Amino acid sequence: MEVELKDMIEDLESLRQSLPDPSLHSSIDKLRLRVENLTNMAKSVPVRRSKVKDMSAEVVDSNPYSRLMALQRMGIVKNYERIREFSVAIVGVGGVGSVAAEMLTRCGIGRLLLYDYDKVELANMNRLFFRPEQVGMTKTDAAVQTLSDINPDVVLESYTLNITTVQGFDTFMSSLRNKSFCPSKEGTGVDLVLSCVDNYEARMAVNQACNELNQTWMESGVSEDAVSGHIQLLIPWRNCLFCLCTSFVCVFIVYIDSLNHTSFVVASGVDERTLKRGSLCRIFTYYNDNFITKKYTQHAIGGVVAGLLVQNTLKFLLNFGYVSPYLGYNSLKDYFPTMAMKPNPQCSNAACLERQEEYTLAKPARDAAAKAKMEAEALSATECQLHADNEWNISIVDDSEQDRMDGTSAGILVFYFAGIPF
Amino acid sequence: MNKSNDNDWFRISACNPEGTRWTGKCWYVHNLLKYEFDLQFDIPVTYPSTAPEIELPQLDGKTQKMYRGGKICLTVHFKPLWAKNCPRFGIAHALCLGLAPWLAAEVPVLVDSGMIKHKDDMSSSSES
Repeated sequence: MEVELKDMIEDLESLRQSLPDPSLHSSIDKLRLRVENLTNMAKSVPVRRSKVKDMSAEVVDSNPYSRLMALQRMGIVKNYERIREFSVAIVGVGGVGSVAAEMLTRCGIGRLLLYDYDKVELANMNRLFFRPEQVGMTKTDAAVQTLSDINPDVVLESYTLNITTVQGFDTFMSSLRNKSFCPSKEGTGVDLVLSCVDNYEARMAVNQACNELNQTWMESGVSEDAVSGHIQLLIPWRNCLFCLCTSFVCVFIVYIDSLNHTSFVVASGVDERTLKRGSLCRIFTYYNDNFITKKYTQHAIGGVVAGLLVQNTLKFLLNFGYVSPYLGYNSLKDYFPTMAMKPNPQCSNAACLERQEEYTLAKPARDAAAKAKMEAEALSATECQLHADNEWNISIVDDSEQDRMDGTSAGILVFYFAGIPF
Repeated sequence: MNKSNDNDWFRISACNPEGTRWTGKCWYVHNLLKYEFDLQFDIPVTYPSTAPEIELPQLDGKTQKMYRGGKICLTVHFKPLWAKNCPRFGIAHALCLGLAPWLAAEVPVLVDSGMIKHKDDMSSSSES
């Protein structure tokens, strides 16, 4: 192309000289300038950055991790570099999964495993991440193509399979179990599984696999009408386990529906009693939104849910802040319900019960550890109080006491006080 | 009983020794013409807590009431029923209460809109 453009400049030059009329010279000069611009643009071919061995905190424009390492400098995260040791599996590379994968890739996660059986279609262009020229590729391959360009440090593994079939499930299980990328963590599998699927069958398959492997995972979902979504942390042996198993399914789904339902009532202002029981049918579409969501999901809600999911993932992996066991989002009212779940002791899933039993057996040891930790913290707290005298009578006042002073109930925070002019 | 009365409307057989994949034929009679389709489904790993997803690959893309790959939509009419009766439901229930109503609702619409043609019509039109 460069040669062609060079020829064009020469042609223009000869044309300029051959033209007797000087009034045309200025327009030829303009043309020439444009060709030169084009030549410059053609020269700046996309540069693929090389792999980075160690994450540096140096603040220079060429360091891809300088902005991330700032989190460490600000004291939010103790050791951000640890992110390179983690591997995360993303099941479902669609509206949520692909965005979550891009976010984690840009964060510099160690290894990403991607699972999907679908192909990219033009109908997917209303969501983020995939590009029109990738239509026809499998979603996993297209994702690997884009992600490896963005951050070559990340080890990417793509699996084009359907995890609900027996064969696909076996491959899924074995890929989660072994093959770790860094020598210090050989054979430890993955650190977290993110379920970004759009149907109930696949959710159940992820749940089954994680229960069997005792693998912590996070759930995510967008409602069929693309106005609400949720994320959820599931640990197969701890109290916040949210058992999706057979006998519990109905309870679980009705519960989720009651949340969405409530938010629907909140959003529409309809009296809850006037709603028909028929809306229960919607709970299934909520989880089996394959059909409808594919039409109406748009990038904003997918991005929001992916953002919540990845933030919770980072908090979980890098051990900072509070990791939400469940966080819902209703966009119509900007309502964020949170809650925690307990496992179902009558669960019909053998793997789930096994995990629960392990948990109960390990309880005394865990309690002792928690107690020791609390004592250590109390000790360090007393050490901090080094002021012998209190000349100004400074005392610590509980925040919650103050909130209640202006007549609101507990849990409601006052943002604006009466009397402050706006 | 159905077979002896010629009231049967499907034939399936396992296509692997573990019985996790099933293939066969199903048919529906509309205006005294028999329309026959290939039928296939996998038993999901989470069976019986989730129902098999019945596929009619020949009709893929011909109707809105279908997921990718020819999986018929069971979401509203059958999935709640399955969840209520789980784990007592099986393949027979999925076919009778999932596939049969779907065929009864969809095939007449597809025939009337001209999306599917009877095989006799197709052969005669190609001959002429």
